[in-house]
Amino acid sequence: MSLGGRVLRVLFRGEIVVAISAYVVIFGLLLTDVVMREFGLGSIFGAQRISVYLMIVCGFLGLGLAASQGRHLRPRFLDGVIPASLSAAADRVGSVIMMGVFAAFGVIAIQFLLDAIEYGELARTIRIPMWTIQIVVPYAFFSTALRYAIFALDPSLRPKEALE
Amino acid sequence: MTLALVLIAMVLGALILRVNIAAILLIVGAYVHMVWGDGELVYIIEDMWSAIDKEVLLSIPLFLLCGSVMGKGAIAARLIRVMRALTASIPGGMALATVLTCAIFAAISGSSAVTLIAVGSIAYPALIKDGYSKSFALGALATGGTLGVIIPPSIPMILYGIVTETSIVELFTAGILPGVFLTVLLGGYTVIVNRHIPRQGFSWVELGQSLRDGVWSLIMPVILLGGIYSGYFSPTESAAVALAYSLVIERFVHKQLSLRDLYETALDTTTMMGSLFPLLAIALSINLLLTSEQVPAQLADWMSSAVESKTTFLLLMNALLLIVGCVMDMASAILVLAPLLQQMGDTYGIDPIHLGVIMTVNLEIGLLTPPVGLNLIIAMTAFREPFGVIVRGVLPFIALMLFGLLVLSFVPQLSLFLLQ
Repeated sequence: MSLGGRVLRVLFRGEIVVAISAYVVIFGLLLTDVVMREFGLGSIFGAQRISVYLMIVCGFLGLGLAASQGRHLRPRFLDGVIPASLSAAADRVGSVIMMGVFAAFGVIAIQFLLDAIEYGELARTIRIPMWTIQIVVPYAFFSTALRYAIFALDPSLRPKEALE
Repeated sequence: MTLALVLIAMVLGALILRVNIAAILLIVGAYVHMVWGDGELVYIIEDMWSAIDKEVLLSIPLFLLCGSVMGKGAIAARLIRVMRALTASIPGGMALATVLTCAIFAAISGSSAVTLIAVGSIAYPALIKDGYSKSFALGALATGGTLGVIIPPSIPMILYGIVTETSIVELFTAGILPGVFLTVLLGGYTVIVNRHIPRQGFSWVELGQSLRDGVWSLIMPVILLGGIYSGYFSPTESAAVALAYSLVIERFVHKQLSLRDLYETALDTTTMMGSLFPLLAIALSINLLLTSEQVPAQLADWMSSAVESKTTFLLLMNALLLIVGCVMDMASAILVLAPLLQQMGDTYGIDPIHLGVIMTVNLEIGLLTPPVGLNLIIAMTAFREPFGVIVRGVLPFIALMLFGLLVLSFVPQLSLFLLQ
Protein backbone atom coordinates (compact mmCIF):
# COMPACT_ATOMS: atom_id res chain seq x y z
CA MET A 1 0.00 0.00 0.00
CA SER A 2 1.25 3.50 -0.83
CA LEU A 3 2.27 5.98 1.86
CA GLY A 4 -0.83 8.04 1.14
CA GLY A 5 -3.04 4.99 1.54
CA ARG A 6 -1.37 4.11 4.84
CA VAL A 7 -1.82 7.66 6.17
CA LEU A 8 -5.50 7.59 5.21
CA ARG A 9 -5.96 4.26 6.95
CA VAL A 10 -4.25 5.38 10.16
CA LEU A 11 -6.29 8.60 10.24
CA PHE A 12 -9.51 6.74 9.61
CA ARG A 13 -8.90 4.05 12.23
CA GLY A 14 -7.83 6.49 14.92
CA GLU A 15 -10.72 8.85 14.34
CA ILE A 16 -13.40 6.20 14.00
CA VAL A 17 -12.37 4.56 17.28
CA VAL A 18 -12.61 7.91 19.09
CA ALA A 19 -15.91 8.81 17.40
CA ILE A 20 -17.63 5.47 18.02
CA SER A 21 -16.40 5.38 21.62
CA ALA A 22 -17.76 8.90 22.09
CA TYR A 23 -21.16 7.89 20.72
CA VAL A 24 -21.25 4.90 23.06
CA VAL A 25 -20.51 7.20 26.01
CA ILE A 26 -23.15 9.73 24.86
CA PHE A 27 -25.77 7.02 24.52
CA GLY A 28 -24.82 5.47 27.86
CA LEU A 29 -24.85 8.80 29.69
CA LEU A 30 -28.20 9.94 28.33
CA LEU A 31 -29.91 6.62 28.83
CA THR A 32 -28.56 6.15 32.34
CA ASP A 33 -29.60 9.72 33.14
CA VAL A 34 -33.19 9.04 32.00
CA VAL A 35 -33.35 5.71 33.85
CA MET A 36 -31.95 7.21 37.07
CA ARG A 37 -34.44 10.06 36.89
CA GLU A 38 -37.36 7.69 36.33
CA PHE A 39 -36.36 5.60 39.35
CA GLY A 40 -35.91 8.68 41.52
CA LEU A 41 -32.15 8.27 41.79
CA GLY A 42 -31.31 11.83 40.75
CA SER A 43 -29.25 12.35 37.66
CA ILE A 44 -25.67 12.16 36.43
CA PHE A 45 -23.80 15.41 36.98
CA GLY A 46 -23.25 17.17 33.66
CA ALA A 47 -24.54 14.24 31.58
CA GLN A 48 -26.07 16.45 28.88
CA ARG A 49 -23.14 18.87 28.79
CA ILE A 50 -20.54 16.10 28.55
CA SER A 51 -22.65 14.52 25.82
CA VAL A 52 -22.81 17.80 23.89
CA TYR A 53 -19.03 18.23 24.03
CA LEU A 54 -18.50 14.63 22.95
CA MET A 55 -20.97 15.16 20.12
CA ILE A 56 -19.06 18.23 18.98
CA VAL A 57 -15.84 16.19 18.98
CA CYS A 58 -17.61 13.50 16.94
CA GLY A 59 -19.04 16.12 14.59
CA PHE A 60 -15.64 17.64 13.87
CA LEU A 61 -13.94 14.25 13.53
CA GLY A 62 -16.74 13.39 11.15
CA LEU A 63 -15.51 16.16 8.84
CA GLY A 64 -12.48 14.05 7.96
CA LEU A 65 -14.29 10.74 8.23
CA ALA A 66 -16.95 11.91 5.79
CA ALA A 67 -14.20 13.01 3.40
CA SER A 68 -12.55 9.61 3.63
CA GLN A 69 -15.87 7.88 2.89
CA GLY A 70 -17.04 10.25 0.14
CA ARG A 71 -19.99 11.25 2.31
CA HIS A 72 -19.78 15.03 2.09
CA LEU A 73 -22.90 16.60 0.64
CA ARG A 74 -22.37 18.11 -2.79
CA PRO A 75 -24.89 19.60 -5.22
CA ARG A 76 -24.28 17.74 -8.49
CA PHE A 77 -26.38 19.69 -10.96
CA LEU A 78 -23.32 21.30 -12.58
CA ASP A 79 -21.33 18.07 -12.88
CA GLY A 80 -22.04 17.86 -16.60
CA VAL A 81 -20.48 21.26 -17.37
CA ILE A 82 -17.00 19.79 -17.59
CA PRO A 83 -16.63 17.21 -20.36
CA ALA A 84 -16.05 13.62 -19.27
CA SER A 85 -12.53 13.69 -20.69
CA LEU A 86 -11.59 16.46 -18.22
CA SER A 87 -13.56 15.03 -15.32
CA ALA A 88 -10.54 13.50 -13.56
CA ALA A 89 -8.63 16.79 -13.83
CA ALA A 90 -11.64 18.67 -12.41
CA ASP A 91 -11.80 16.28 -9.47
CA ARG A 92 -8.12 16.87 -8.85
CA VAL A 93 -8.44 20.65 -8.96
CA GLY A 94 -11.45 20.33 -6.65
CA SER A 95 -9.34 18.30 -4.21
CA VAL A 96 -6.65 21.00 -4.25
CA ILE A 97 -9.23 23.73 -3.57
CA MET A 98 -10.73 21.76 -0.68
CA MET A 99 -7.27 21.08 0.73
CA GLY A 100 -6.57 24.83 0.60
CA VAL A 101 -9.86 25.79 2.22
CA PHE A 102 -9.62 23.29 5.06
CA ALA A 103 -5.94 24.03 5.69
CA ALA A 104 -6.66 27.77 5.81
CA PHE A 105 -9.45 27.18 8.32
CA GLY A 106 -7.09 24.94 10.28
CA VAL A 107 -4.78 27.92 10.68
CA ILE A 108 -7.71 30.15 11.70
CA ALA A 109 -8.82 27.47 14.17
CA ILE A 110 -5.39 27.60 15.82
CA GLN A 111 -6.04 31.29 16.50
CA PHE A 112 -9.43 30.30 17.95
CA LEU A 113 -7.68 27.78 20.20
CA LEU A 114 -5.01 30.25 21.31
CA ASP A 115 -7.74 32.76 22.21
CA ALA A 116 -9.45 30.14 24.38
CA ILE A 117 -6.14 29.41 26.15
CA GLU A 118 -5.35 33.11 26.59
CA TYR A 119 -8.74 33.94 28.08
CA GLY A 120 -8.73 30.81 30.27
CA GLU A 121 -12.19 29.78 29.08
CA LEU A 122 -13.81 26.92 30.98
CA ALA A 123 -16.34 24.41 29.67
CA ARG A 124 -19.85 25.01 30.97
CA THR A 125 -20.92 22.86 33.95
CA ILE A 126 -17.92 20.53 33.90
CA ARG A 127 -15.44 23.42 34.29
CA ILE A 128 -12.46 21.96 32.43
CA PRO A 129 -10.29 24.18 30.21
CA MET A 130 -12.21 24.74 26.99
CA TRP A 131 -9.17 24.37 24.79
CA THR A 132 -8.86 20.70 25.73
CA ILE A 133 -12.11 20.15 23.84
CA GLN A 134 -11.63 22.81 21.18
CA ILE A 135 -8.34 21.31 20.08
CA VAL A 136 -10.47 19.03 17.92
CA VAL A 137 -11.33 21.98 15.63
CA PRO A 138 -7.85 22.65 14.14
CA TYR A 139 -7.16 18.92 14.19
CA ALA A 140 -10.30 18.20 12.17
CA PHE A 141 -9.56 20.90 9.59
CA PHE A 142 -5.94 19.81 9.15
CA SER A 143 -6.82 16.13 9.03
CA THR A 144 -9.42 16.85 6.33
CA ALA A 145 -6.95 19.05 4.42
CA LEU A 146 -4.36 16.26 4.57
CA ARG A 147 -6.87 13.82 3.14
CA TYR A 148 -7.68 16.11 0.21
CA ALA A 149 -3.95 16.67 -0.35
CA ILE A 150 -3.54 12.90 -0.63
CA PHE A 151 -6.54 12.66 -2.97
CA ALA A 152 -5.01 15.41 -5.14
CA LEU A 153 -1.66 13.63 -5.28
CA ASP A 154 -3.15 10.21 -5.88
CA PRO A 155 -6.73 10.45 -7.21
CA SER A 156 -7.10 6.67 -7.10
CA LEU A 157 -7.32 6.98 -3.30
CA ARG A 158 -10.26 9.40 -3.48
CA PRO A 159 -13.37 7.46 -2.45
CA LYS A 160 -16.33 7.06 -4.72
CA GLU A 161 -19.02 9.46 -3.57
CA ALA A 162 -21.81 7.96 -1.51
CA LEU A 163 -25.43 8.79 -2.26
CA GLU A 164 -25.92 11.10 0.68
CA MET B 1 -23.11 44.44 -6.96
CA THR B 2 -19.78 43.46 -8.53
CA LEU B 3 -18.68 41.88 -5.26
CA ALA B 4 -21.87 39.84 -5.10
CA LEU B 5 -21.36 38.66 -8.69
CA VAL B 6 -17.79 37.63 -7.83
CA LEU B 7 -19.18 35.57 -4.95
CA ILE B 8 -21.75 33.88 -7.21
CA ALA B 9 -19.03 33.16 -9.80
CA MET B 10 -16.82 31.63 -7.09
CA VAL B 11 -19.63 29.39 -5.89
CA LEU B 12 -20.51 28.26 -9.42
CA GLY B 13 -16.84 27.62 -10.18
CA ALA B 14 -16.48 25.54 -7.01
CA LEU B 15 -19.63 23.55 -7.87
CA ILE B 16 -18.30 22.84 -11.37
CA LEU B 17 -15.05 21.60 -9.81
CA ARG B 18 -17.02 19.24 -7.54
CA VAL B 19 -16.12 21.02 -4.32
CA ASN B 20 -18.32 19.83 -1.45
CA ILE B 21 -20.90 22.07 0.18
CA ALA B 22 -18.99 22.33 3.50
CA ALA B 23 -15.96 23.81 1.72
CA ILE B 24 -18.18 26.07 -0.40
CA LEU B 25 -19.91 27.43 2.70
CA LEU B 26 -16.53 28.04 4.32
CA ILE B 27 -15.46 30.01 1.22
CA VAL B 28 -18.74 31.96 1.26
CA GLY B 29 -18.41 32.63 5.00
CA ALA B 30 -14.83 33.86 4.62
CA TYR B 31 -15.74 36.05 1.63
CA VAL B 32 -18.77 37.57 3.35
CA HIS B 33 -16.69 38.31 6.47
CA MET B 34 -13.87 39.82 4.42
CA VAL B 35 -16.03 41.91 2.11
CA TRP B 36 -19.06 42.92 4.17
CA GLY B 37 -18.00 42.02 7.71
CA ASP B 38 -15.03 43.10 9.79
CA GLY B 39 -12.56 40.66 8.25
CA GLU B 40 -12.05 38.70 11.47
CA LEU B 41 -12.23 35.14 10.16
CA VAL B 42 -11.81 33.64 13.62
CA TYR B 43 -15.39 34.80 14.27
CA ILE B 44 -16.54 32.16 11.78
CA ILE B 45 -15.06 29.43 13.95
CA GLU B 46 -16.43 31.02 17.12
CA ASP B 47 -19.90 31.19 15.57
CA MET B 48 -19.56 27.61 14.32
CA TRP B 49 -18.73 26.49 17.83
CA SER B 50 -21.62 28.29 19.46
CA ALA B 51 -23.95 27.04 16.72
CA ILE B 52 -23.37 23.40 17.58
CA ASP B 53 -22.90 23.81 21.32
CA LYS B 54 -26.57 22.96 21.90
CA GLU B 55 -28.23 20.13 23.81
CA VAL B 56 -31.03 19.77 21.29
CA LEU B 57 -28.57 18.68 18.60
CA LEU B 58 -27.90 15.51 20.56
CA SER B 59 -31.14 14.10 19.22
CA ILE B 60 -29.84 14.07 15.63
CA PRO B 61 -27.06 11.44 15.96
CA LEU B 62 -29.30 9.37 18.22
CA PHE B 63 -32.20 9.39 15.73
CA LEU B 64 -29.75 8.65 12.92
CA LEU B 65 -28.32 5.72 14.89
CA CYS B 66 -31.81 4.50 15.70
CA GLY B 67 -32.85 4.65 12.04
CA SER B 68 -29.69 2.91 10.97
CA VAL B 69 -30.21 0.10 13.51
CA MET B 70 -33.79 -0.39 12.31
CA GLY B 71 -32.68 -0.34 8.70
CA LYS B 72 -30.48 -3.35 9.40
CA GLY B 73 -32.97 -5.18 11.55
CA ALA B 74 -36.35 -6.86 11.14
CA ILE B 75 -38.70 -4.10 12.27
CA ALA B 76 -39.65 -3.14 8.68
CA ALA B 77 -40.34 -6.75 7.66
CA ARG B 78 -42.63 -7.30 10.63
CA LEU B 79 -44.49 -4.04 10.06
CA ILE B 80 -45.09 -4.99 6.43
CA ARG B 81 -46.49 -8.35 7.49
CA VAL B 82 -48.96 -6.69 9.86
CA MET B 83 -50.02 -4.11 7.26
CA ARG B 84 -50.34 -6.78 4.59
CA ALA B 85 -52.58 -8.88 6.82
CA LEU B 86 -54.72 -5.83 7.61
CA THR B 87 -55.13 -4.74 3.97
CA ALA B 88 -55.37 -8.21 2.35
CA SER B 89 -59.04 -7.85 1.49
CA ILE B 90 -58.66 -4.45 -0.17
CA PRO B 91 -57.92 -4.21 -3.91
CA GLY B 92 -54.31 -3.02 -4.25
CA GLY B 93 -53.83 -4.18 -0.67
CA MET B 94 -50.10 -4.80 -0.94
CA ALA B 95 -49.52 -1.32 -2.38
CA LEU B 96 -51.59 0.19 0.42
CA ALA B 97 -49.68 -1.93 2.94
CA THR B 98 -46.44 -0.54 1.51
CA VAL B 99 -47.55 3.08 1.91
CA LEU B 100 -48.85 2.46 5.43
CA THR B 101 -45.65 0.67 6.42
CA CYS B 102 -43.61 3.58 5.08
CA ALA B 103 -45.72 5.97 7.18
CA ILE B 104 -45.33 3.94 10.39
CA PHE B 105 -41.66 3.24 9.78
CA ALA B 106 -41.21 6.96 9.12
CA ALA B 107 -42.71 7.62 12.53
CA ILE B 108 -39.79 5.72 14.01
CA SER B 109 -36.80 6.38 11.81
CA GLY B 110 -36.97 10.10 10.98
CA SER B 111 -35.15 9.50 7.71
CA SER B 112 -36.40 9.16 4.18
CA ALA B 113 -33.45 7.10 2.91
CA VAL B 114 -33.70 4.58 5.75
CA THR B 115 -37.45 4.22 5.24
CA LEU B 116 -37.06 3.64 1.51
CA ILE B 117 -34.28 1.07 1.85
CA ALA B 118 -35.69 -0.79 4.86
CA VAL B 119 -39.27 -1.05 3.58
CA GLY B 120 -38.38 -1.22 -0.10
CA SER B 121 -35.98 -4.15 0.18
CA ILE B 122 -38.89 -6.30 1.39
CA ALA B 123 -41.90 -4.67 -0.26
CA TYR B 124 -40.49 -4.27 -3.78
CA PRO B 125 -40.10 -7.99 -4.59
CA ALA B 126 -43.50 -8.64 -2.96
CA LEU B 127 -45.19 -5.95 -5.07
CA ILE B 128 -43.68 -7.32 -8.30
CA LYS B 129 -44.70 -10.86 -7.32
CA ASP B 130 -48.28 -9.68 -6.71
CA GLY B 131 -48.50 -8.26 -10.24
CA TYR B 132 -47.90 -4.55 -9.72
CA SER B 133 -46.00 -2.81 -12.50
CA LYS B 134 -42.35 -2.00 -11.89
CA SER B 135 -42.83 1.71 -12.41
CA PHE B 136 -45.78 1.83 -9.99
CA ALA B 137 -43.93 -0.17 -7.31
CA LEU B 138 -40.84 2.01 -7.61
CA GLY B 139 -42.93 5.19 -7.58
CA ALA B 140 -44.90 4.09 -4.51
CA LEU B 141 -41.76 3.13 -2.60
CA ALA B 142 -39.73 6.20 -3.53
CA THR B 143 -42.67 8.45 -2.58
CA GLY B 144 -43.63 6.46 0.51
CA GLY B 145 -40.03 6.81 1.68
CA THR B 146 -40.34 10.59 1.63
CA LEU B 147 -42.99 10.40 4.37
CA GLY B 148 -40.01 9.91 6.69
CA VAL B 149 -39.23 13.61 6.61
CA ILE B 150 -42.69 14.97 7.38
CA ILE B 151 -43.98 12.39 9.88
CA PRO B 152 -42.23 13.08 13.17
CA PRO B 153 -39.61 12.53 14.39
CA SER B 154 -38.05 14.27 11.44
CA ILE B 155 -34.41 15.26 11.17
CA PRO B 156 -35.11 18.07 8.66
CA MET B 157 -37.62 19.49 11.14
CA ILE B 158 -35.01 19.37 13.90
CA LEU B 159 -32.65 21.30 11.62
CA TYR B 160 -35.39 23.81 10.78
CA GLY B 161 -36.17 24.22 14.49
CA ILE B 162 -32.53 24.84 15.34
CA VAL B 163 -31.81 27.27 12.54
CA THR B 164 -35.00 29.32 13.05
CA GLU B 165 -35.14 28.92 16.84
CA THR B 166 -38.58 27.33 16.61
CA SER B 167 -39.84 24.71 19.08
CA ILE B 168 -38.96 21.23 17.78
CA VAL B 169 -41.76 19.61 19.77
CA GLU B 170 -44.26 22.01 18.17
CA LEU B 171 -42.83 21.26 14.74
CA PHE B 172 -43.17 17.54 15.40
CA THR B 173 -46.76 18.06 16.55
CA ALA B 174 -47.51 20.16 13.48
CA GLY B 175 -46.14 17.41 11.23
CA ILE B 176 -48.62 14.77 12.40
CA LEU B 177 -51.77 15.80 10.48
CA PRO B 178 -49.90 16.74 7.27
CA GLY B 179 -48.17 13.33 7.49
CA VAL B 180 -51.51 11.56 7.92
CA PHE B 181 -53.04 13.66 5.13
CA LEU B 182 -50.25 12.78 2.68
CA THR B 183 -50.44 9.11 3.70
CA VAL B 184 -54.20 9.08 3.02
CA LEU B 185 -53.60 10.82 -0.31
CA LEU B 186 -50.97 8.29 -1.38
CA GLY B 187 -52.90 5.34 0.03
CA GLY B 188 -56.12 6.40 -1.70
CA TYR B 189 -54.32 6.74 -5.01
CA THR B 190 -52.67 3.31 -4.72
CA VAL B 191 -56.05 1.67 -4.05
CA ILE B 192 -57.78 3.45 -6.95
CA VAL B 193 -55.14 2.73 -9.60
CA ASN B 194 -54.73 -0.88 -8.49
CA ARG B 195 -58.40 -1.80 -8.14
CA HIS B 196 -57.89 -4.44 -10.89
CA ILE B 197 -55.28 -6.33 -8.83
CA PRO B 198 -56.98 -9.42 -7.34
CA ARG B 199 -57.54 -9.04 -3.62
CA GLN B 200 -56.12 -11.59 -1.18
CA GLY B 201 -58.27 -13.36 1.33
CA PHE B 202 -58.39 -11.84 4.78
CA SER B 203 -57.20 -14.20 7.50
CA TRP B 204 -57.68 -13.63 11.20
CA VAL B 205 -55.02 -16.26 11.88
CA GLU B 206 -52.44 -14.45 9.74
CA LEU B 207 -53.39 -11.13 11.30
CA GLY B 208 -53.02 -12.60 14.79
CA GLN B 209 -49.65 -14.16 14.00
CA SER B 210 -48.32 -11.03 12.33
CA LEU B 211 -49.48 -8.90 15.26
CA ARG B 212 -47.79 -11.27 17.69
CA ASP B 213 -44.54 -11.07 15.73
CA GLY B 214 -44.83 -7.36 15.03
CA VAL B 215 -46.05 -6.07 18.37
CA TRP B 216 -42.57 -4.87 19.38
CA SER B 217 -42.27 -2.90 16.17
CA LEU B 218 -45.77 -1.42 16.52
CA ILE B 219 -45.13 -0.29 20.08
CA MET B 220 -42.08 1.71 19.08
CA PRO B 221 -43.75 4.80 17.61
CA VAL B 222 -46.05 4.87 20.65
CA ILE B 223 -43.09 4.98 23.03
CA LEU B 224 -41.14 7.43 20.92
CA LEU B 225 -43.82 9.94 19.99
CA GLY B 226 -45.96 9.36 23.07
CA GLY B 227 -42.94 10.21 25.20
CA ILE B 228 -42.30 13.45 23.34
CA TYR B 229 -45.91 14.68 23.09
CA SER B 230 -46.77 13.85 26.66
CA GLY B 231 -43.77 15.89 27.75
CA TYR B 232 -42.40 12.82 29.48
CA PHE B 233 -39.19 12.91 27.44
CA SER B 234 -37.41 15.69 25.63
CA PRO B 235 -36.71 14.91 21.95
CA THR B 236 -33.12 14.03 22.93
CA GLU B 237 -34.15 11.69 25.73
CA SER B 238 -36.77 10.18 23.48
CA ALA B 239 -34.12 9.50 20.84
CA ALA B 240 -31.92 7.79 23.45
CA VAL B 241 -34.83 5.65 24.67
CA ALA B 242 -35.82 4.77 21.09
CA LEU B 243 -32.25 3.77 20.30
CA ALA B 244 -32.04 1.59 23.40
CA TYR B 245 -35.39 0.01 22.55
CA SER B 246 -34.44 -0.70 18.94
CA LEU B 247 -31.08 -2.17 19.98
CA VAL B 248 -32.70 -4.49 22.51
CA ILE B 249 -35.49 -5.54 20.15
CA GLU B 250 -33.29 -6.11 17.10
CA ARG B 251 -30.48 -7.81 18.99
CA PHE B 252 -32.33 -9.91 21.55
CA VAL B 253 -35.93 -10.29 20.34
CA HIS B 254 -35.66 -10.30 16.55
CA LYS B 255 -32.05 -11.57 16.75
CA GLN B 256 -31.22 -9.70 13.54
CA LEU B 257 -28.39 -7.43 14.59
CA SER B 258 -24.82 -8.71 14.66
CA LEU B 259 -21.89 -6.87 16.23
CA ARG B 260 -20.64 -6.22 12.69
CA ASP B 261 -23.99 -4.55 11.92
CA LEU B 262 -23.60 -2.42 15.04
CA TYR B 263 -20.15 -1.29 13.93
CA GLU B 264 -21.48 -0.44 10.48
CA THR B 265 -24.40 1.55 11.89
CA ALA B 266 -22.04 3.53 14.12
CA LEU B 267 -19.68 4.18 11.20
CA ASP B 268 -22.58 5.16 8.98
CA THR B 269 -23.93 7.59 11.57
CA THR B 270 -20.52 9.10 12.28
CA THR B 271 -19.82 9.88 8.64
CA MET B 272 -23.37 11.16 8.13
CA MET B 273 -22.89 13.46 11.11
CA GLY B 274 -19.55 14.46 9.66
CA SER B 275 -21.26 15.71 6.54
CA LEU B 276 -24.14 17.30 8.44
CA PHE B 277 -22.53 18.96 11.46
CA PRO B 278 -19.91 21.13 9.77
CA LEU B 279 -22.62 22.18 7.36
CA LEU B 280 -24.93 23.10 10.20
CA ALA B 281 -22.16 24.96 12.01
CA ILE B 282 -20.98 26.93 8.97
CA ALA B 283 -24.50 27.73 7.76
CA LEU B 284 -25.49 29.00 11.21
CA SER B 285 -22.30 31.04 11.37
CA ILE B 286 -23.12 32.71 8.04
CA ASN B 287 -26.70 33.26 9.16
CA LEU B 288 -25.48 35.04 12.30
CA LEU B 289 -23.40 37.39 10.17
CA LEU B 290 -26.25 37.99 7.72
CA THR B 291 -28.61 38.71 10.61
CA SER B 292 -26.16 41.14 12.20
CA GLU B 293 -25.95 42.91 8.84
CA GLN B 294 -29.81 42.87 8.72
CA VAL B 295 -29.83 41.05 5.38
CA PRO B 296 -32.91 38.88 6.11
CA ALA B 297 -34.84 41.95 7.33
CA GLN B 298 -33.88 43.90 4.19
CA LEU B 299 -34.85 40.99 1.98
CA ALA B 300 -38.18 40.70 3.80
CA ASP B 301 -38.81 44.44 3.32
CA TRP B 302 -37.94 44.19 -0.35
CA MET B 303 -40.17 41.17 -0.80
CA SER B 304 -43.14 42.78 0.96
CA SER B 305 -42.83 45.88 -1.23
CA ALA B 306 -42.54 43.78 -4.40
CA VAL B 307 -45.21 41.21 -3.52
CA GLU B 308 -48.26 42.42 -1.66
CA SER B 309 -50.40 39.33 -1.50
CA LYS B 310 -49.77 36.49 0.91
CA THR B 311 -51.11 34.04 -1.67
CA THR B 312 -48.58 35.20 -4.26
CA PHE B 313 -45.79 34.98 -1.71
CA LEU B 314 -46.77 31.42 -0.79
CA LEU B 315 -46.87 30.42 -4.46
CA LEU B 316 -43.52 32.08 -5.14
CA MET B 317 -41.96 30.48 -2.09
CA ASN B 318 -43.26 27.05 -3.10
CA ALA B 319 -41.89 27.53 -6.63
CA LEU B 320 -38.51 28.60 -5.26
CA LEU B 321 -38.32 25.66 -2.85
CA LEU B 322 -39.37 23.17 -5.53
CA ILE B 323 -36.58 24.45 -7.79
CA VAL B 324 -34.09 24.40 -4.91
CA GLY B 325 -35.23 20.87 -4.05
CA CYS B 326 -34.32 19.80 -7.59
CA VAL B 327 -30.70 20.86 -7.26
CA MET B 328 -29.86 20.89 -3.57
CA ASP B 329 -30.02 18.41 -0.72
CA MET B 330 -32.56 18.94 2.01
CA ALA B 331 -30.22 19.78 4.90
CA SER B 332 -28.30 22.41 2.94
CA ALA B 333 -31.51 23.98 1.64
CA ILE B 334 -33.03 24.23 5.12
CA LEU B 335 -29.88 25.59 6.72
CA VAL B 336 -29.34 28.21 4.04
CA LEU B 337 -32.90 29.29 3.27
CA ALA B 338 -35.01 28.74 6.39
CA PRO B 339 -33.90 31.85 8.33
CA LEU B 340 -34.42 34.07 5.28
CA LEU B 341 -37.82 32.61 4.42
CA GLN B 342 -38.96 32.70 8.01
CA GLN B 343 -38.23 36.42 8.22
CA MET B 344 -40.09 37.00 4.94
CA GLY B 345 -42.97 34.77 6.05
CA ASP B 346 -43.29 36.84 9.24
CA THR B 347 -44.09 39.95 7.22
CA TYR B 348 -47.03 38.10 5.61
CA GLY B 349 -48.23 36.72 8.94
CA ILE B 350 -47.23 33.14 8.21
CA ASP B 351 -46.69 31.12 11.36
CA PRO B 352 -43.06 29.88 11.51
CA ILE B 353 -44.30 26.39 12.42
CA HIS B 354 -46.59 26.35 9.37
CA LEU B 355 -43.70 27.63 7.26
CA GLY B 356 -41.56 24.78 8.57
CA VAL B 357 -44.16 22.26 7.44
CA ILE B 358 -44.47 23.90 4.00
CA MET B 359 -40.69 23.95 3.61
CA THR B 360 -40.35 20.32 4.67
CA VAL B 361 -43.05 19.14 2.24
CA ASN B 362 -41.48 21.14 -0.60
CA LEU B 363 -38.07 19.64 0.01
CA GLU B 364 -39.73 16.25 0.50
CA ILE B 365 -40.93 16.56 -3.10
CA GLY B 366 -37.34 17.52 -3.98
CA LEU B 367 -36.34 13.99 -2.96
CA LEU B 368 -38.34 12.80 -5.97
CA THR B 369 -37.41 15.33 -8.61
CA PRO B 370 -34.59 14.83 -11.11
CA PRO B 371 -31.75 15.44 -11.57
CA VAL B 372 -30.62 14.95 -7.98
CA GLY B 373 -33.68 13.57 -6.17
CA LEU B 374 -32.09 11.46 -3.45
CA ASN B 375 -34.86 8.86 -3.35
CA LEU B 376 -34.61 8.36 -7.12
CA ILE B 377 -30.91 7.67 -6.84
CA ILE B 378 -31.36 5.39 -3.83
CA ALA B 379 -34.16 3.48 -5.58
CA MET B 380 -32.00 3.13 -8.69
CA THR B 381 -29.12 1.73 -6.65
CA ALA B 382 -31.09 -0.38 -4.19
CA PHE B 383 -33.48 -1.98 -6.71
CA ARG B 384 -31.10 -1.95 -9.71
CA GLU B 385 -33.67 -0.40 -12.03
CA PRO B 386 -33.12 2.20 -14.77
CA PHE B 387 -33.41 5.84 -13.75
CA GLY B 388 -36.05 6.47 -16.47
CA VAL B 389 -38.38 3.77 -15.13
CA ILE B 390 -38.15 5.22 -11.63
CA VAL B 391 -38.76 8.77 -12.84
CA ARG B 392 -41.81 7.64 -14.83
CA GLY B 393 -43.04 5.80 -11.76
CA VAL B 394 -42.82 8.80 -9.44
CA LEU B 395 -44.44 11.33 -11.82
CA PRO B 396 -48.08 10.66 -10.78
CA PHE B 397 -46.97 10.64 -7.16
CA ILE B 398 -45.24 14.00 -7.60
CA ALA B 399 -48.52 15.40 -8.97
CA LEU B 400 -50.29 14.06 -5.87
CA MET B 401 -47.69 15.51 -3.57
CA LEU B 402 -47.97 18.89 -5.31
CA PHE B 403 -51.71 18.82 -4.69
CA GLY B 404 -50.99 17.95 -1.06
CA LEU B 405 -48.48 20.79 -0.85
CA LEU B 406 -51.01 23.33 -2.10
CA VAL B 407 -53.59 22.14 0.43
CA LEU B 408 -51.04 22.30 3.25
CA SER B 409 -49.85 25.74 2.14
CA PHE B 410 -53.30 27.30 2.00
CA VAL B 411 -54.93 25.43 4.89
CA PRO B 412 -52.63 26.27 7.81
CA GLN B 413 -55.13 24.71 10.24
CA LEU B 414 -54.02 21.30 9.02
CA SER B 415 -50.57 21.98 10.44
CA LEU B 416 -51.54 24.12 13.40
CA PHE B 417 -54.72 22.43 14.61
CA LEU B 418 -53.02 20.08 17.06
CA LEU B 419 -51.02 22.97 18.50
CA GLN B 420 -54.21 24.75 19.50
